Amino acid sequence: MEGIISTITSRMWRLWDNIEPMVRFEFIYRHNYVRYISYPIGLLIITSCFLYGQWPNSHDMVVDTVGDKFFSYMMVIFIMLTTSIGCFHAALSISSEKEKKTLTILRMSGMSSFDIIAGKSATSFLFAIFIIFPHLPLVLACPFLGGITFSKVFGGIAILMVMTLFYTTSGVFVSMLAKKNYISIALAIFMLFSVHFGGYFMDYICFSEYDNYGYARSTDDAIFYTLSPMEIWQNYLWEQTNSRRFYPTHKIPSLTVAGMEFPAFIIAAIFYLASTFLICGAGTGYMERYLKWRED
Amino acid sequence: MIEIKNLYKYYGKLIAVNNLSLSVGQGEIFGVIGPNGAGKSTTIKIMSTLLNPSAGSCTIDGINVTKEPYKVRQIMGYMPDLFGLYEELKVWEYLEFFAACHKIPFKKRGQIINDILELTDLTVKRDSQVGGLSRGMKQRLCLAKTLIHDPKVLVLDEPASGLDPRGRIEMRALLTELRRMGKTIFISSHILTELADFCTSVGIIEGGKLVVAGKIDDVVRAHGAHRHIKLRVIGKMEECERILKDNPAVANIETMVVEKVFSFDMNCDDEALCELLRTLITSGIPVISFFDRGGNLEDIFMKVTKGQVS
Repeated sequence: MEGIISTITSRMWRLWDNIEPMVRFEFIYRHNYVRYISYPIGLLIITSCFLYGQWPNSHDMVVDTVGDKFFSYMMVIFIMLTTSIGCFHAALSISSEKEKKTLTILRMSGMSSFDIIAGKSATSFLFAIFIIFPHLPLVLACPFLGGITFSKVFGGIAILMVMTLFYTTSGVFVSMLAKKNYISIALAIFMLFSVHFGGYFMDYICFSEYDNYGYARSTDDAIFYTLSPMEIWQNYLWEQTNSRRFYPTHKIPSLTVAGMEFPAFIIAAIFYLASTFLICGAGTGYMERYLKWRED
Repeated sequence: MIEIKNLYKYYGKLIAVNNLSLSVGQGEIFGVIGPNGAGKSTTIKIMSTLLNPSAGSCTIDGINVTKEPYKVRQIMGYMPDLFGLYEELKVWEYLEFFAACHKIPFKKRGQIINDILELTDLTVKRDSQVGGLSRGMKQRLCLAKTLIHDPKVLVLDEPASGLDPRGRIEMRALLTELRRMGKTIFISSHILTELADFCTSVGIIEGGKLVVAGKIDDVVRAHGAHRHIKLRVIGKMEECERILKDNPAVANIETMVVEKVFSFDMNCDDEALCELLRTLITSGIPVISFFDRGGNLEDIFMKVTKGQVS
């Protein structure tokens, strides 16, 4: 057991060694301190205004729990912020290096493709997390307001982190493909659209039939929709909060493996984590080859 | 140190590099000359692992650039012709970033950065923003970045392009210093005089082919280029001119009466040159300087090239 722990620790340190130059570059050398202070505070003010507008009246305060309601609202804000900021920040990471003509010297600087992709992903991930960080006290206050437990709050944050990591890695991948920033952003939008709505589209193609009114409807065999982040979050919020404010379009079934029941959102989180590693691996394997091919 | 064998690079039907073979020894400065579009930058990109060759092989210190690009990058410093800089960074931050990229231990970085800044004469600009540096300083900073991991081989693509005369002189002095440090340098340029001053060997590329290559003296001798001699005396101008005109190897004599300087071309070997100087001295000509400016690469370039591009 000690051997496994020491191996994991040494690997984590090695990973940190690889991504450290990029993180240091983004958060220290670039001197964007004003941005790092003003963005989170600005967003916190906007969120506070939004939450103030949602404050329940005295009747609801008596008959309903407030904590899970606020948690649901906070999660919706977090999901939107981390998805958009993480993905678009990452989408500009390598394409902006190409525009500034610094990618060549970066490639020649002793960093491997993995170092560059992992470093850029980590930077965008940390940036997205940093932006929502001041909201943390508000989220941690939810269990005290009732209706939700700390374990459910931390579970939600863990899934949020996995999804953010997926979006940032995907953003870096599309950024690798594009030569210009605007193309990279366009690809990132297309990627987000595909991830969110591609499942429904696939189901429509594979598992649809015409109903009595002549409209095409997905049959009960439809499966691809379960991978849409929208469905995942709706299911998560529906299952994890008592208020049942978010009704999923479809109830995603849980999976029982060796007598253990895994809720759908856990399976989805594992799927997205695996996808992140797959995209990172594909980027690492093909970045050099792709850039050389583009030179041709 | 650098071995290129039968290198080809095709861009569709266009042949950018056509059966190029050359060898550069340890500690040499090899200059590649050629017009724009000759294939210099393509060759350099292949050497620098940024491009795969269509055929042929290239090895740096015995390491194949196609098969083991990351190993090559560890022993090579590459300075592209067009490069960007992180303008918002300070000079020392810029260098520290690349030191970190090369996995240089944190404790050693400070000393290495100080040494590199001193070598490239940028110590006074240590805390300046990169964006505020002059063009020449940016070139030197890029070279400093290239040197941060102490590479054995330096590949420099037009390092002095766009520099003013002072910048060129400073860059030349820096490259000479690097040669003294034992670095093998592969440098491209289309400015012939720039290379003639500090390169040990040259290669002329045209239409993707290496037309001429070798030590500068050998190339000059092999292609019959004249040596350019500058002679300065303090008197007996007519007698000196007569001796020069009597020598069959001397041609294109130019006389600057006021400065008392003769400038002429000589198609000869070292012995004949020595004999001419001896004749002048024994004839009582008061010679105060006799300078061989070497072969003129411009003559050779014009002789062997036809103005073709890839």
